[in-house]
Amino acid sequence: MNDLHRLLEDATPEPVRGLSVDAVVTAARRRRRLRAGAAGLALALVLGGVGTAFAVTRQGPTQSLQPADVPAPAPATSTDPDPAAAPAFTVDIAAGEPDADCAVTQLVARPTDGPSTPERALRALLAEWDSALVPVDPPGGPAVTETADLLISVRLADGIAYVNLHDFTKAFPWAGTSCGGVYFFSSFATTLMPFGLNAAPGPFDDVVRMAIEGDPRPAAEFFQADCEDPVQPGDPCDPSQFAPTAPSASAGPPAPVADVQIALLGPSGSSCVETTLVTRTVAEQGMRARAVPVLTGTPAVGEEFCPP
Amino acid sequence: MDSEASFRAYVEAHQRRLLRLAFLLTGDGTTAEDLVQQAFVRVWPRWARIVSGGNPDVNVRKVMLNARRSGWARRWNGEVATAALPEAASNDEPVETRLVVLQALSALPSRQRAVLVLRYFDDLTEAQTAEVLGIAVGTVKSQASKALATLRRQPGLAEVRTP
Repeated sequence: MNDLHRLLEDATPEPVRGLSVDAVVTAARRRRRLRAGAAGLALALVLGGVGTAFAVTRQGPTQSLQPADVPAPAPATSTDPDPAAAPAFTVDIAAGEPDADCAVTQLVARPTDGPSTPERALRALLAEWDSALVPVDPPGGPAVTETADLLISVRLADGIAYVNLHDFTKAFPWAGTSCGGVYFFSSFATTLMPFGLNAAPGPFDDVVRMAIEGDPRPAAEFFQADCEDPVQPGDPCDPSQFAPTAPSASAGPPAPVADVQIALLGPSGSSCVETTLVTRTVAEQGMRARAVPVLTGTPAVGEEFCPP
Repeated sequence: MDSEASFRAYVEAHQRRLLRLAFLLTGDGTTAEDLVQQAFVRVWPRWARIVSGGNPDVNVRKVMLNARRSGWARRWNGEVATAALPEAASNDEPVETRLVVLQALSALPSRQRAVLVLRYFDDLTEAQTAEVLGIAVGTVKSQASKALATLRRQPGLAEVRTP
């Protein structure tokens, strides 16, 4: 019983159920569709003057995963805008690099069904993230059968992105880990950069304010935020911080702090939780951005919450 | 056989072995399923080329290991390495031996664990293991040696032999 091969064989249970070949092929086709048409599109051509800072340079693992037999789309030009062909710009972690920094995300081109908008870009981002999502009926909401449908709405105003999401915790369980959470939020911030959240190259500040459908405590626990039981004043589940008299943080991002933290905010009595994340994003290496989430420090009554 | 038919046949024939490999790499059955599916999804667009290259097994494993390393599979981190086993293992208890082996694997650094599993569960050569992991053959040897030394320090695994 001391042969290592035999020990390893005995240590692995025979899979109770195998993968569905049809499901694998369906998922592969879906991924292929998302990637088709993205190859070769230059962000600079679409974003005009902004593009220089975020020009797509296809390199690294993202490139290696492109389908080889998908014909490249006709290159877009600034004089030939085709709204239907405008790509969404979502993000990809620095995949394949050992010890990759979870906060490092980069813009990659993705096709959308119409003109590229923040909503379509985020839907493309959510669709990109394969998940174990099964049809979900969010409380009071429509059935969510595609990860893209987890997005309720997005609005950019005064440098702040307001993102409303259905409960995504079952779809993206990895977002609840320390690395996954940083990557998750960084991806939203980076995806929205071309839409005005950050139009200027160089150091800048981003604010992405997320409202997540559900109760505060499960969301706090999902993000591994420490909530006392019973709730103590000031902890992420403290409902008093959501009181209407609380000062608003929408005036601008606070000074960044060193630690990665996430603030969970929500209106008292609301069925939604607002997760406020302030990211300090610094352009690096052309298209790559580094997003460092920091705590806003000041809870706010959000302007936008999940719809009733 | 066209490319899709070839792909389907490969998935059907190899998924169970890959699921077991992924289980040893991740320690979790659900994560293993995600990892294997992710690998299949990623190789499918290039399947014709991979097959024509003559070594789909190595390629699929390479993609799977890359996916695991880059965290594209679920980022669950349910394993907690501990310095000591909760109780001593007994060689005549198969269930306990299995747990000891899994516990010992989970305590190994990621690369050592991958080397050990690829070399001694999957029976890849040192060169194939190096190719899958994108490291030098010498690194495979040193990582395997360290992993085995760690494994043999575990109660009940001191006499573990390798081919």
